[in-house]
Amino acid sequence: MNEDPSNLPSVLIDEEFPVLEFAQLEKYNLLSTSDILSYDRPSLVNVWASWCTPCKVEHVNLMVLKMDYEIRIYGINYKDDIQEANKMLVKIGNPFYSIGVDSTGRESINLGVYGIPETFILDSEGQIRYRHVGPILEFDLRETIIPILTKLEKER
Amino acid sequence: MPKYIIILIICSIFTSDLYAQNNQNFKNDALIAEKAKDLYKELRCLVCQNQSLSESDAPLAIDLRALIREKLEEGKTKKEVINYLVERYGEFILLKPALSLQNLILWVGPLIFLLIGLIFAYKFYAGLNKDINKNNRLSEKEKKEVYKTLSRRIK
Repeated sequence: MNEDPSNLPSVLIDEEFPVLEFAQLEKYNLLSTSDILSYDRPSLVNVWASWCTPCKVEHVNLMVLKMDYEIRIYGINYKDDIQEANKMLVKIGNPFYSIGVDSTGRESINLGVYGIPETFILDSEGQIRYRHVGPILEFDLRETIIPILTKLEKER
Repeated sequence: MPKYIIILIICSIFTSDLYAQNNQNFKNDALIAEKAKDLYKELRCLVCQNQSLSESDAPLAIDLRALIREKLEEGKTKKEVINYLVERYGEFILLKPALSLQNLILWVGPLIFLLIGLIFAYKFYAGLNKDINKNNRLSEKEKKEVYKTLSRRIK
């Protein structure tokens, strides 16, 4: 049972990250499942959009994960205006190693996404081990995200 | 004149043909629409969680409705569409939980609790009657007292 009924467990826990097809966002690297699976350290997949206010709230913490913890973060740009998405990254920084554009939201449905921002933690094998729904606040960073990443790093 | 009649007959043959074609498509569309409507009612909107997909205007609900409609048009059965969504969102997306061993308590639980309630209610009320009959009778002395008081009042 969940403590918060609006926070759904992902059915993809302990499953390999699925093969999904994305479009490229301007000059940024294109996210590909083969990239995700071949990387040998724990990583994050973050579903975001420029119109999503909580995504902007968590952005600073994604930057912390990238800069201070050297975590690779893949971004899925969800039903967004491409130009606005690019503008946001130019303005407040790009935490993403690579980005996939999901303009219709169909690929994200394959991930069971139901409310962005959503963040998946993958282990070094590319298996989904945890899903965080809602913005990653400082508290979440300290209490869940970092501890899980540390544990996965030790497991590898 | 017979030439016109022949043309007329030929024309009427073609029109009825086209009509039949249209009717077929229309029937198929209606069938899909009906199936889709049933599914919208059975599935939960994951954004506003006590609403079904048919009731919700959330963007995700709109996307999922379009997806369901597409799958049905591709010829998928209702069951296949439900499985597709459960694979992605889990059984939570079903407003009515599936009747499985894991979910048995959800289905049988209320009946069990009702039964327990009935047993308690029966015991309680049966006990109440017994108490009144056994212990709450007036003694001879009390009876006399009552008569005395009542007769005094009547005078």
